[in-house]
Amino acid sequence: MNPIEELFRTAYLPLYPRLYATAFGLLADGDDAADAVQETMVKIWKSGQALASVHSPEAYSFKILRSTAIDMLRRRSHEGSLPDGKEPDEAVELPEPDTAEFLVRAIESLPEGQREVVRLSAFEDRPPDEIAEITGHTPANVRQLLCRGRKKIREIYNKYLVS
Amino acid sequence: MKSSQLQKMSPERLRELLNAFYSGDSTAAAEDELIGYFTSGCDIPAEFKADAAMFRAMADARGRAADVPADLEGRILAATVGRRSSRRYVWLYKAASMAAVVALLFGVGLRTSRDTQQTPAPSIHTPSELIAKTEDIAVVDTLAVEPHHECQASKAVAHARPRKVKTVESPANDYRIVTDTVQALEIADRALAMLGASLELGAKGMRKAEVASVNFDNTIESIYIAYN
Repeated sequence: MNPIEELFRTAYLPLYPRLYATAFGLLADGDDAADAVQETMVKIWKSGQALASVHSPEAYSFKILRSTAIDMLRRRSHEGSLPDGKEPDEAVELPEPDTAEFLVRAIESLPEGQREVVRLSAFEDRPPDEIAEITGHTPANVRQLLCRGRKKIREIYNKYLVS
Repeated sequence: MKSSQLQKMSPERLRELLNAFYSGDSTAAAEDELIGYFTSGCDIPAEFKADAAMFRAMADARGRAADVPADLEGRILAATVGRRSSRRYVWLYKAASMAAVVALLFGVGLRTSRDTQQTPAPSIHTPSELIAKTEDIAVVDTLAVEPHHECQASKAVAHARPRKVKTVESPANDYRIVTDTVQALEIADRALAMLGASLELGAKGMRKAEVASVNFDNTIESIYIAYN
């Protein structure tokens, strides 16, 4: 086994579970999440010798995954959205509120800044300091975005359960 | 935490943890405690129903982490094989380009009029005449294509790897000099026509190679889909 293959197996393949959790948080679908992670692994594999110079395999992998998942979201047609002050589309069956799929939809309705921070916390269980490092926000700003985002999500749940 | 202990969580403790959570100040341990409480199955006060649903959803999300599929490496390899096959046809593109360069240089060489002191050598009327006149020229081994040899009339032989082929090397003093302008233009026209035919043939070859590459990719994809 050559060094690159060894590096791939030891540093990148073990990231699969966490990558899957992140992909699921973005795509809200198990099959799509698996596809996104597989596509990510293929892209990493195709990097070949360049992998030897990657400083952080984790950061590199998650960066590719997010780009891949966003591309999949763009290709996918939007079927329905959570009520954000609006009634849900009756033609689309929304998931149960205590499921991950519902939480994904709720997070998608957040403003962009809050969305990524809340997603990293809810699906990847990352502390504020790590979220700050990934997003480029300061830790204080991350806490503020978490505060607003989580309160917004609770409002969504309240509205949905009342309706 | 055990269910019996979680059920004993006072509303005050619950509000304290939730306030920290919604302020963005909760710790990982506190969030785990909240998830554990709301998923324990105990009765939840009505004021915390929305919180309960949200934390159950978080528990569901974090529990979705999947193990590495046993056949992941095979899938990665299958996904990269199709891409690798397209590289096999790079040689055809290179060979066609080099053939065009050879034909172009051949045409340029015929256009150039040089010294008229000597008795003009018989001009070349057709490509076959050129080939026939090279019978007495030494045949040497060279690499597949050498575009700087102006009198090469042989086709560029394309192979997956560079191979030695027989080519016609022009001896230094046996270069055809055309002094008649009209004849030179006629020869140049014929050479350019030959170049055009060669380029068209090369383009056809490239199109065939592209189709073959697409078919190969489709076959690999079909195998992958069938396997999965």
